Amino acid sequence: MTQSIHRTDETDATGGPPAVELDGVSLVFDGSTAEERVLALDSIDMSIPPGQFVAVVGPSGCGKTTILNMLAGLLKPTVGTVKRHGEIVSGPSNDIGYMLARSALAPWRTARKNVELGLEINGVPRRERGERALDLLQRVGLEKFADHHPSQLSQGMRQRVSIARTFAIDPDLWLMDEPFAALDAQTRILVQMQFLELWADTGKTVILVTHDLEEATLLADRVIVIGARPGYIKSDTPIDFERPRHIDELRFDQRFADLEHTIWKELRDELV
Amino acid sequence: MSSSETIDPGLAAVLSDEVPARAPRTPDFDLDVLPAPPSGWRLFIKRVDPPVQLARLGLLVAILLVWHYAVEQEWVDRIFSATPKEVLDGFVDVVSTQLFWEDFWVTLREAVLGFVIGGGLGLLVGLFVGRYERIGKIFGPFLTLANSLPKIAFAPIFLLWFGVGEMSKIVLAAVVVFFIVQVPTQAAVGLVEPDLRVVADSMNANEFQKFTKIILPGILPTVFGAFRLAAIFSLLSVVFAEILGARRGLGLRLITAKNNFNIGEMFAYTLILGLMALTLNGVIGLIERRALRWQARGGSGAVISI
Repeated sequence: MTQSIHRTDETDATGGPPAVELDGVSLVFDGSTAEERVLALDSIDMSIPPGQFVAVVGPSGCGKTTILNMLAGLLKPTVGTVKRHGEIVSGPSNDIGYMLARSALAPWRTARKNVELGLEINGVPRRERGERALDLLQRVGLEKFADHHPSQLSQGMRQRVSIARTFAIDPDLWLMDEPFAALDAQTRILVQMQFLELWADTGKTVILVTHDLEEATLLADRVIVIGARPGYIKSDTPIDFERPRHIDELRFDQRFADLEHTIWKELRDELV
Repeated sequence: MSSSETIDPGLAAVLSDEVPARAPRTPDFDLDVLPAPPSGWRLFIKRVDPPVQLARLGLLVAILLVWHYAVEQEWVDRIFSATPKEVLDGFVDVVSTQLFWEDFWVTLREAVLGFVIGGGLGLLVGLFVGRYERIGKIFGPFLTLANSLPKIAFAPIFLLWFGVGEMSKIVLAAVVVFFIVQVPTQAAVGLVEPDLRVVADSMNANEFQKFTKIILPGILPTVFGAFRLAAIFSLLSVVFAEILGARRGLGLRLITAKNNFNIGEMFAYTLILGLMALTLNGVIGLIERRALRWQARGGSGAVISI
């Protein structure tokens, strides 16, 4: 499944193992009876080189989130192996950033203290935490709101705090579960651009799960379509637009429309 | 990480919430045509809302008049009733004695100790059975059964077990308070933001960190609600046990006044106990407002947009 995609070639040159590798992964959710057992994922093979931005799209309930949970070490596959950099994932790890649709901020913490959460858990000293949190809030344009509580912030601002929180732990792998889904259309574009800007040149691997094909095609180096019940890999399409991308303009580009249409045809059959 | 050089300046300005420079537009509508908002004494009047205050006062007077009239007309036997004036006199008589203050402290001490012991244990047990599913499964039926028993009915047996002194009151109050705190605490643990827990799990937080950083702050609003109720029920239990049998305490004073047909004093004690309950509730409310300042801020409705 090698793709000739931006950024991949140079990392492949090092000959290192893929950042993420799923090998024959199936996952069964156990029910109280044999009939209630659900095969959620069916023999998934996936290999993602370091630094690649991969979007995973598919209908509701196709097991997209389950893949993220396995990579985060929150779930174990029933059969098959999940590896990161050649090592089997055995549990949660503090170099993974997990972002969810709802910002999942602690309402009792200020924006700054929320950004510090992962640093606190990793035992970073107070002073360093505070400085890093403030720096990151500045980069998402929220330094003036450092001492505000989440209830005082708009959805878009909360999600930007959430991005800052994930960046704070400087994760090697970003797992993003519909992180922009709860935002209105204009805010979404702003936050997407901001994320791309922060991510650019970090060389970190991103797996973005989304319902939104436009978002997937705009942001990712590669779009994987997951078919439904049980989840399987339906198609795997490289997206080779140059970076940095001006996604606010790229949206109206004919090449973009054609590509989205191609992937849409794959996805359409799964929606019924 | 990245530098911000790759991003175009206009976009950077939008992202950093700084509105890009553009010619300010003068609105067509002139705000000055509206009447000025109230200020000074007008604002004060608006806040005080005199009709509401007058209606309250009127209602109070009406209640006192009906009360007085009912006593005078002997709706119940005059020996068992007291006019508002007699209650007030009883109140003044009672609070001016040394004996009252000694009994006051006894009752307060019992209620506070019962609250602290029962509330503390209720919080701990609620946290553990809520946090660990299997422990919850083991203890669940026993806790439910124990909670279904009318705790107050244990007062007589506690008097036999722990004597007529303060211990029997503290134990009864603690048992009552325990369940008032334990049940909602257990439920609240399960409801703490599931997404936040996923985030903490994915950050590889240990059990202690999840407890102190996520669960404990997450259940505080519920716990404080339970504490307010528990404080009042602690006082209630203590007074009930004192009425049943005690050496000291306001419950004992209350029942003594009744046995002496001093109905004015009896109602005065009732009033004092009510004031005590209000104060306990107020003290917890004060601590709650300090601990949950983040909630009050959110309630101000000052949500800032992107």
